[in-house]
Amino acid sequence: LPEDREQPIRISADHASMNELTGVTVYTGNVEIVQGTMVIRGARVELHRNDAGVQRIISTGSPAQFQQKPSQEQPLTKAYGKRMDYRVAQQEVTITESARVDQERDTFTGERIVYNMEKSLVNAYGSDKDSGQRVQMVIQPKSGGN
Amino acid sequence: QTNPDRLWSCNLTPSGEWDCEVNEHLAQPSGPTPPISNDTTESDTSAAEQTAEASPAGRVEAVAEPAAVTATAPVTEVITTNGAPEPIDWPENFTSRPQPAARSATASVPSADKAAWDCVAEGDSWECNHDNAPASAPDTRAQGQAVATAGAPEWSCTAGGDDWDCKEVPGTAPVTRQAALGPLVPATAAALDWYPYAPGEATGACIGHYVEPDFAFLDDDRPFDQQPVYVNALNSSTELGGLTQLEGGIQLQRGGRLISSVRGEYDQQSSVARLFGEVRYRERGLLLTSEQADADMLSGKTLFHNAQYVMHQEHMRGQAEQITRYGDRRVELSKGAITFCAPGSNAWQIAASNIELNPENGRGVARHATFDVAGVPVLYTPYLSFPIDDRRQSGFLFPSLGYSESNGIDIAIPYYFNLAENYDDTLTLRHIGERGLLLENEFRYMNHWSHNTLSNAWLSGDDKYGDDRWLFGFKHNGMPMDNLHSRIDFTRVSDDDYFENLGTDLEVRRNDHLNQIFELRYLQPGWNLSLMTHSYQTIDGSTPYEKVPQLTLSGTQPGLAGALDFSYVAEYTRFDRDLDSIYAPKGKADATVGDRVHLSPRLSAAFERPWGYIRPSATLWHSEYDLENERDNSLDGGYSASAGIVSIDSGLVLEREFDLADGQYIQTLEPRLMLLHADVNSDDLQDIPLFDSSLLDFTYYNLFHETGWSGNDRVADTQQATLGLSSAVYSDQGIEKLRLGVAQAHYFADREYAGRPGDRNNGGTDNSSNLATLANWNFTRNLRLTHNGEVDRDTYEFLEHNYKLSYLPGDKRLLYLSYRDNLEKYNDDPANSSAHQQMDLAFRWPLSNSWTGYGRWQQDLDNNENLETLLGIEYSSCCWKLRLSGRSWVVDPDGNVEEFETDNGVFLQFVLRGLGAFGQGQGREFLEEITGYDEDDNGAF
Amino acid sequence: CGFKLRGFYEVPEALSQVALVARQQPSQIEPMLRSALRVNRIDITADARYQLEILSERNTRRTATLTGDADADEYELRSEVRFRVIDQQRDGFEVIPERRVMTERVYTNDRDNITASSSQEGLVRKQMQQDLAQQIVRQYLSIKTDA
Repeated sequence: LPEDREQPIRISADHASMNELTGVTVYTGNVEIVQGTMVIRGARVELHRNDAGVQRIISTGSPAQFQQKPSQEQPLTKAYGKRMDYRVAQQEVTITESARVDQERDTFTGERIVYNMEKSLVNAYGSDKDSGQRVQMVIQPKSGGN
Repeated sequence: QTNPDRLWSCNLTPSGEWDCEVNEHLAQPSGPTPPISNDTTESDTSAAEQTAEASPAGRVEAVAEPAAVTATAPVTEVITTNGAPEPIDWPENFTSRPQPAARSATASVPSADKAAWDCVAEGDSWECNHDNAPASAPDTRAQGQAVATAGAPEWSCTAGGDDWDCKEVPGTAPVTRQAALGPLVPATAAALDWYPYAPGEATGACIGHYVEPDFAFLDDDRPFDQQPVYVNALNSSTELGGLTQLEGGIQLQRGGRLISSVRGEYDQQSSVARLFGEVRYRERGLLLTSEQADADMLSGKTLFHNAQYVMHQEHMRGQAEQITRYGDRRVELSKGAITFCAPGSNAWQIAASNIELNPENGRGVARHATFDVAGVPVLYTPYLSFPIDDRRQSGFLFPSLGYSESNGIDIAIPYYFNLAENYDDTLTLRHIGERGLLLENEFRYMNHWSHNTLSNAWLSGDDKYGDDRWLFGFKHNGMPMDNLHSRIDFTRVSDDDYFENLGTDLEVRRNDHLNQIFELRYLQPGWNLSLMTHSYQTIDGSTPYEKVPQLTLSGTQPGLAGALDFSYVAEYTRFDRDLDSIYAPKGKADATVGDRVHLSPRLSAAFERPWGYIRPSATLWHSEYDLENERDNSLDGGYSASAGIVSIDSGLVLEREFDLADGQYIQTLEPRLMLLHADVNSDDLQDIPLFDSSLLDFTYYNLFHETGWSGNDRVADTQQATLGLSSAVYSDQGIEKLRLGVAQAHYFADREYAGRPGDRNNGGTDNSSNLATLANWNFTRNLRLTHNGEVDRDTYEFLEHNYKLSYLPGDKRLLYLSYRDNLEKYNDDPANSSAHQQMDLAFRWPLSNSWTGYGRWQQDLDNNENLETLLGIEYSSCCWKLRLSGRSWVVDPDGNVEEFETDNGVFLQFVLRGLGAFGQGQGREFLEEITGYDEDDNGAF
Repeated sequence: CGFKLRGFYEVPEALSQVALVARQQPSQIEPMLRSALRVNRIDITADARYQLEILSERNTRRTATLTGDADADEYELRSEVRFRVIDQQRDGFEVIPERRVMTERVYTNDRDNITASSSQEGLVRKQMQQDLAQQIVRQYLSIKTDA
């Protein structure tokens, strides 16, 4: 939700290490960060902080997970991927390496997906290289059918 | 240093990193909640993670105030806020899955209750397989494409309350091979799936054919609107719940339908997808290409703007300003055209403001249609319906053009209305120069138990003939109930020369008598009963006896008292004759008509051995008459004739085997002796008219016939022995290669009442018959020579000898040469109309893939008269055929003048592929009449 | 000259029963085939291993010779039957793939007595069907049952 940003960030992990100079805290081992309806999970999460607060959260895992309720009426949006880079200021999560976003009952996959929470916009990018993975969406039929 | 009572402790590393460890014993697992999937790839497994099955209780909790947290506040202190939301564990479904039966070899982590998913990293994507992966998910990997991931089953989770409710979703769209995905480099034809045949592979006149690429169509048996839509693009941008932009070569697939284009957008609200640039829609048997399309994912209705389409099986293509593909597979074209010609050829097409094609019932309907030949509209029709599949596929005969001396110009334009699946109508407007406009109509109707054809024609005021002319014909074949067969064959014409002048069907033209048959037959294994009336309209020759009606019961009862077989025929017939017609025979006796009852019970036995057989039989033959004769009532009254027939048919079978280059053969030698004694005890026999009996021709088979006559009015009174010797050669597959036979009858007494084959009608005094010879030689499966003949018993000269050499390979080629000569037989009565010496030659030979020559030449060598000469050439392109034939044929000279008269003509015919069968007469039968054989089996193009 | 009486041979057990199916109804050749099979002591049951299928029958008539005034002097009858034999225990394996047997005979058209002529036509057609039935049965009996 938009007001998620005012919520406190709650982090739990098996293990954490703090780097005073760079202001980056690294948590490892089933890391879970909760802020309002937003939840970030991963095997290893970096929290970048500066005077203005948490600027960026990079979580990696197999797969790392992200979940948030974009607005009251819209259902939870979830994203998975090996690496997630959440820029708090722009309210944008970039998911790379087998990225996947579930929105209501539809799913998107691709090489890289950028999910803008403010505009609730999902941009997915595939790669045309042979080995690369193209963007894929699975749109479930509307329950009401036609 | 590790502080024992601190759950974890950290120290500052030289690089400014904090390094903390977890206090092991505090982090004991309290509950069986294994982490989500700890069989991570090698790259980032750290020792702690691998073993620690931290229970929620033992986890590290830290809360950082968002803004207030300053860089300096170590995150290490544990602040557990009260009312913290229940820790969200990994999605529930990970644990509830049944254990996968086979563990994937790559599972690296030997943990006890392994997560049910068995995922392995492959390339950049996760590939988790699951033992009950839906069978339907096509495993594209099977196509040997290393990288393409299988339709890996996916999980889709929705937040239900606090825990997540995840269920397994059928695999994402199979990632089709990269090559098939990229738009084909379109030579114009290849874009429509049209590929030329390899040299030498082409059979018909088409140089190529439509080849449908094998697509991994998702066969999903859920109803269409319940199936998910799989989208695949290079990049996409989605407003959640709203519009998704896709570009970089996109593909949408739902069930058996696949649509691809350069870019597109999909609106989730209306679930309508709009596609732009090189749109290609594919479905089994159908391809549509266009520049822009709108697909309604809910109803399955897809709209294409200035599009082209191809139906592969139907060998049909077309283009239109707008093509709509409905959910129920119907295709509708507005302002479009269809054709069966290969791409690149505009030989002909049907353009229309609206065309609807329905593959379900295989019909197409065009409204306001024009028929274009080479781009020039030639014919307009407000409504034209045509079959679009091969249910009735041969050729739609477009106008045929002809000129003959008797009729002058002769143009026939057929309109073919395929009104419904089981009935169609063909109206032909035929302008005949010398006569006027003839309307010929043929209505065909089929239902589950019968086929019916109503054909009639009307020519008002024939200029040359001076009167109206009409034809009425009705043919019916049906099975109203089990085992009951019905047949009607009725033809009536306005005048005797109708066929001579107007007939196009060569065979009918030769008939002197038009059948009017109504028949019902009830067939049972042991017996059958038939009721029939058979009358005629005589247009030449003499009016025949008509059976009005005939009731016949015949049957067999095998295995009666051991080896005896009993068979019987019981028949009642009323014979009548039209005596006032100009064709009525003049003789007094010819006017005899009346009822006949015929009975012929027969007892026979068969003693069979592989090396021989003896088949005795005894028949009581009896015919009873009640006759009347208006010209000579002395012939009125009752007559009867009966005969006892005893025969013993016996034969031996000798064999020898011999080897030829191509295999082992068996040759048989079969001597046959038939003793026959027919004792006729009535003098009436000669006074009884020949209602339906005639003396059988003199052939090898008829020498062994018990009565020597067809029908039931005569039995040859004879005591004779028929000797036969035949030899046959069979391949090891039992196929008859050669059969030779000769037979002769030896008479021990004269035939006083009725002759045997070879005698005269009323008897014979020779003590032996001539020799009947026969030979069938199959040089190869397709080349065959047949012969039959009659050899004089004294001079051993051929009185009659006939030969036929035929080559019938079953494809377009055909050739036969026949020679029939019985002059010697009639040298004491040369004027007899049955004396003939004729040669008949016919051929159809492909000169190239497109050109085929055909012809027939029938010559009466004795009178040196040419009875029939026809030479024709046929050009066929991939979707139409043109036949040009010149013909001269013998006609019946008007009046009984004895001179020989022929008619000549030139005929031009178009045959168009694919538009459904045309009525009788003109279409496929043309060749059959000339050559006696079918047009190539399926009118192949 | 090498001929000897055909030795005693037993109809192979597998061939002693056959299912007979005629696609075209009413079938002209089916009755003849039934009696030809019975004479060779092969009984007809639906659940036999081999199935003899009559795929198509074509009986046509055309003029063989003409008189001077364009009448048919002799008619040529032609009968062609396509058949095959499938092995029902090896899901329809074609023991005999589609084959064609064909025969042609000519008979005189008695123009003064069309009714008699058409009864001769019926007789000749019956003889032709018997001949074709004989050929089909002989080919059926030469199936190598161990194949």
